[in-house]
Amino acid sequence: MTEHNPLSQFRVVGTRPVRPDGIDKVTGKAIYGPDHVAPGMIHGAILRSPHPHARIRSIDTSKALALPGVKAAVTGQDLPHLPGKSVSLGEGEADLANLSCNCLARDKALYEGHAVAAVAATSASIAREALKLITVDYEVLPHVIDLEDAARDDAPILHPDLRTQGAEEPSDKPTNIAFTFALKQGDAAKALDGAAAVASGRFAMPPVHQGYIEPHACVASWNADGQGQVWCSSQGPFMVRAVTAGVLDIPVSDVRVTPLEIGGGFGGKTTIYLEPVAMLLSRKAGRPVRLAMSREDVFRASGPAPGLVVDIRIGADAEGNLVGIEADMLYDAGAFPGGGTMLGPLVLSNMYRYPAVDIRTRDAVSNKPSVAAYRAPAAPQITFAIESCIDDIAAQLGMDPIAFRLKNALRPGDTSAMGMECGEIGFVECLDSANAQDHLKAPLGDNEGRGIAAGYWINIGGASSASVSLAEDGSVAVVTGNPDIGGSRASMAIMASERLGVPYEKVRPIIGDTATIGYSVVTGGSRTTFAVGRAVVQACDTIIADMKKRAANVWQVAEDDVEWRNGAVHCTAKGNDNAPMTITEMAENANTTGGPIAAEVSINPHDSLPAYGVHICDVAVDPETGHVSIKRYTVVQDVGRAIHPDYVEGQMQGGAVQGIGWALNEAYIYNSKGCLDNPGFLDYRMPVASDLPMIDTVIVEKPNPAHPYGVKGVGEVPIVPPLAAIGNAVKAATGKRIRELPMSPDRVFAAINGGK
Amino acid sequence: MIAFHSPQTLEDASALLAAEPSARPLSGGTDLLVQMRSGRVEPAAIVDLKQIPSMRGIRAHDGGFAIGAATPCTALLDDAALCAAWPGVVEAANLIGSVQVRNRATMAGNLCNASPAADSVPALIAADARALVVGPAGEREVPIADIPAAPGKTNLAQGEFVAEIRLPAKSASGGDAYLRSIPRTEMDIAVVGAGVSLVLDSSGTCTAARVALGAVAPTALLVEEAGAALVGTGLDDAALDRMADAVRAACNPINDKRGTVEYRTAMAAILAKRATRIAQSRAGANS
Amino acid sequence: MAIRVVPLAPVDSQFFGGRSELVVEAGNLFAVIRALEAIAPGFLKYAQTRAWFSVNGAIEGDWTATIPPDSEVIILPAIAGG
Repeated sequence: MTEHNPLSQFRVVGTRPVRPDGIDKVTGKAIYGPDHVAPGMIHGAILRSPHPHARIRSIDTSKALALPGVKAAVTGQDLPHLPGKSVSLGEGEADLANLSCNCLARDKALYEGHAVAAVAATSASIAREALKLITVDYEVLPHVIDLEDAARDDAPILHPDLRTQGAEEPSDKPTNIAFTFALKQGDAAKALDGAAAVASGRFAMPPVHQGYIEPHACVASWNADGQGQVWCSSQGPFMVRAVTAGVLDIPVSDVRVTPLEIGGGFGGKTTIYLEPVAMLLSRKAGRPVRLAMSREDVFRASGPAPGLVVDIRIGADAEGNLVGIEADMLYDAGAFPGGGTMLGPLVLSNMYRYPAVDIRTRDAVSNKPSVAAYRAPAAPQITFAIESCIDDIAAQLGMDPIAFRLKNALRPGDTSAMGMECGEIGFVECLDSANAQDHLKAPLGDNEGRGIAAGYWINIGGASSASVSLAEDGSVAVVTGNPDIGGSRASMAIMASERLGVPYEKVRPIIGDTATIGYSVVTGGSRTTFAVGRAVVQACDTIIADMKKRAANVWQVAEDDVEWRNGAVHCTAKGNDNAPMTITEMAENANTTGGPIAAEVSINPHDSLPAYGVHICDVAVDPETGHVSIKRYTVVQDVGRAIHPDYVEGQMQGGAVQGIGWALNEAYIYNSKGCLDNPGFLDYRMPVASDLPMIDTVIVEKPNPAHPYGVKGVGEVPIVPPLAAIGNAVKAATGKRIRELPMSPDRVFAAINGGK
Repeated sequence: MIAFHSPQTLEDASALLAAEPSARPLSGGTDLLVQMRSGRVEPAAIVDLKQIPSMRGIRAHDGGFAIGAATPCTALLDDAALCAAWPGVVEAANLIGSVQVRNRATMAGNLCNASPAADSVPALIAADARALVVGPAGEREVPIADIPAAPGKTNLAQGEFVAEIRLPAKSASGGDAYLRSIPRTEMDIAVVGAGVSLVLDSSGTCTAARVALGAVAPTALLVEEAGAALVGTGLDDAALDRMADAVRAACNPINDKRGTVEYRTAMAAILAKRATRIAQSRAGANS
Repeated sequence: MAIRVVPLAPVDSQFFGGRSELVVEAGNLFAVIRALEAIAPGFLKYAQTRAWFSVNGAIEGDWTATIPPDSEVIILPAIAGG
C-alpha cells in the first residue's frame, strides 16, 4: 500500500513513506525523558506521602542533608506561594497554586503518593537512602476516595477555601464540589415522560490511567545567573516552560525547555510534576539534577482520567426521533479542581438532535491523584452512558441501531445544544460507511454478540508556529515546537514535500526547543496535523512567493508572469523562453538573489472541525466464567484527509485498544486505607497483544475546508466509542446491560448469574 | 553491598545459605530481582544455583523425571517424554509471565516464592510431585504441598533449598491438566488455578484422582474429597458436580484486587470440571 | 452595533449576577470584552486565560476580527484536549 494512487489529486499526501524518526526509535538511539544526561548531573529522589490525607506539621531534612553525597533537599516551603495565580496555556489554563502544591505539598498531603520533599545526591542509591532520613510529622486526617462520598455534605474537606464555581446560589460553606454547570433547553422531563421509548440508568466508572510506557522524567539545570534549562519529554515544551516559570515565579525567558523523544503521552503529558522541583534542587546543588518517576510513582501520583457517575435518561418518539435527554454527571477531579467538567456537556450536545435538554455536570475533589487529560478527555465516560441508552432505545423501537443513529445524527447546518454550529462534519458519512461494512453481515456463533457505538470529539486548533528553510542544495528543514506523539514528523514532511514539490526524503522535520521556534500550544486535542500542519504549509507558501519574486527579478518580468508548479518556477511571459528554475537551483543561487530562503509562520486557527467515529465490535462471552473476548473489531472514522494513512490507522487502532482496556479490565483499585492497591501493570490490567484481534480500520475522508489538505484531526476520537460498543455487544451476547466499568470477568459473571 | 556467590556443589550452596540469615538462592531471579528492586527484600548475599551441574536439566528418575531446580520453564517444552507424560505440569509452568520471563523462571522458584497463586504448584500437587530439599542436615524428599507455609513463606530451614522437582512415573492410562482464570489472556496472575490428575481403567472408570487448587487459600490445596468424588465413577456429570461441590467447600479465598470470594469459589469449581475433562481425554478414555 | 452576549456557567454567575444575556455595543471581540470588563471588573483577566468566544456558532480566536452587527457571542469555558 506504499505506492501512490494515480487517481489522487496529490503526489505525496495519502502515501505511506517510512517515518523520519523510525530508525532511531527501533535501534534504541532515540533519547527519551529518562535517558538524557547533562555534564555533572546528579540524581534526585522524591519522598511521597504514605497517607491519602494528612496535615504536614513539619519536615526535617537535616539528617538527609548530613548524609555524605547529598547535595540538596527541598520541601513545599521552598516554592513561592501563589494563591489565585494562573497561567494561560493556549488550550486551557493552569492554576499555579494548585500545580505548585501538586509538585510539592505545602501544608497538606492530599493523596497517597503526593510529593512532600525531595533530595539530590551524587548517586541514585544515596538519594534513596537520604529519603529514609527525612522526618515528616503528619497529622493524619480522615480521607475520602469514593466519588459520590466526596460530593456529600459531610465529606472530609480537602480544600477549606474551595467554593463551588458556577453555583446558581453561591454558598460560603466549604465543599468538595469544585464546579457545576447546567444547560436547559425546553422541557426535557415532560418530553421524556411522554416518549414512546426511554432508556435510563446510573452509569459509573472508576478512574483509569493513560498507561504510557515512558514514566515522567526530566533533567534541570539552574545557573547562578538565573538562567535555567530543562530537558524532558512532554506534549509541549512551551507548556513546560510556562508552568515551570509560573510555579517558580521567574521570567519565562529564564527557562529554556528542550523536548526529548516522548514514549507516549495520551494527554497525560500536557501537565508537569517534576520540573520545578528539579529546578529548585539544581539551584541548591549547583549541578544539573535528574528526577524520574518509577512506574509506581506514575500510577500513584500522575494524573489518571476522571471517574464518572451519571444518571441519564434519553427518549424517542414512536417514529424514532429523539425527544429529549436528561443527564446529571459527577466527574472525579482527584486532589485538585479541574475534572474537565465542561467536556461532558460538550459531548452530550454534539452527537444527536435533542429538542429538549436538561443536563447538569459537577466535579468533585477527592483524595486521589489530580486528574489529567486522557485522549478525548471526559468523552469516553459520558459516551458509554449515551451510546448504551441509544442502543437500548433502538432495541425497544425495533429499529436497526445504525438507522436509528442516522435518523438523529447531527449534520452540517445543525446547531448543537451548546450553540455551536456544525460545519462540514462527517457523522452521517461514518454511519453510512459502517452500514456498508461486511463485518455487519458476518455470522455470529454461540454466546457471541455484536455491538455498535459512535463517538464525537471536538478537535481543537490553537497557536502554532513552523519554520521552513532551504539548505544550499535545496533540501528542506521544517522546524516546529510540537513533540511527535503519533507520527507528526512524517505528516509535516509529507505536507512540506507536497507543497514544495521536493521528494519526501529531502525534507527533515525537526522539533525545536523553546528558544528556536515561535510559540505553539501542546501536541494535544488532535490539533497538530491540522493547526501546526497549516503553519507548515503557510511557511512553504511564503517561501514559494519569495522564490517567484526572485525569479521575476532574475528574468526581469512581472511577478504575475511567474508561476510555481512541480517544484519549479516557470516563466509565463509571452515570447519568453526562460527555462524553469527548480527549487534546488533557487536554493543554490539564494545568496545571489537576496540571501537565504526561509520563513517562519505563527498562526492561531480555531476553525478546526470535530471528528466522528463508529465502531463495530463482536465479543464472545463465556457464560460460565464471565470472560469477554473481542472476536472482531472495526473502526470507521472521518479524518478529513489522511496525510499518512499508516499513522492515521495507527491512531484509530491504538485509541480503540485503549478503549477496549478501559471497557474490560482497567481500574484504579483503592484499599480501605485509601491507598492505591494496583500501582503496576500486573494488576492495572491494560490489554496485552493476545487479548486482541487485528483492529480493522476504515478511513472516511470528508475534507475540512479550513485546512489546505482537508485535515480534521484523528488521535482522540477512537478511544470514545469502544466502552459502549463492547457494552452493547455484551448485551447482545448475554441480554444483560452492564452499566459499571470495567466489564471484568467477575462483574459479567455476577450480571449473568444475578440477573441484574 | 551484596555478596554474590556462584557455588559449584550442592554442599557449598547450602553452606553459603546457612552462613547468612538474609541470603537468598537465585535461579531464574524473576521473583527475587523484582522484589529486590522494589525494596521488599534486601538480602546481604545471593547464592546463584545455576552453576551447579545437577541443578540444570531433566533426567529420568525412578521411572519418572527429576527436573533440576534451575531448569527454566521453556526448557520443559523441549523434553518430549516429559511433555507426553505430564502435559498439565508443562502447560502450567508455561503459563507463568511471558516467554521472556519463562526463559529464566523455574518451577522450583515458582514453588519457593510461595505465592498462593503460583501456576505450576497446583499442577505439581495434582501430579503428586515431590521436591528434593538439600540443606546442612543432608537431603530429604518433601511433597510439593508441604513446601509453602503461608504467602511468601516456606517450610524450608535456614540453609535449605530445593534442588530438584521429582515427578512420579506416569500411569499408562493417566492424564493431567491445569487451567487458570485470569482477566486477560496472558501476562497475569491466577485469580484461581486448578490442577487435575486422573488414572482410568480400560472401561473408563476413574481409579485415582488428585485435584489441587491455587489462589483460593493461603497455600495451594490438595482437595482429597474432590478426588474421592471422581474415583469409582465414569466421570459422568453427576460425579463432576459432586467433585465441584467438594472444591467449593474447600475454598477459603480472600477478597482482593484480583477477585472476590464468590467469584474465586465459583471459578475453582468450573475450572476443576474443565480440567477434569481435559485430563480425561488425555487419559485416552474420552468415549 | 448591538451584540448579544450569552455567558454560560460559570461565567454568568461569577461575573454577571446570573444574567443569561447581555447586550453591548461593539465591532469586535476586544470591544465586547472591554464592555464586559466595565460591567464586571476582572472579566478581562478571566477572558484571557479561561474563556472561549463563539461568534455566531463558530469559535473566534482573533479578538481583532470584525464581527457583524446583531451577532451572538457565546462565552464558553476554554476546552482542552488530550
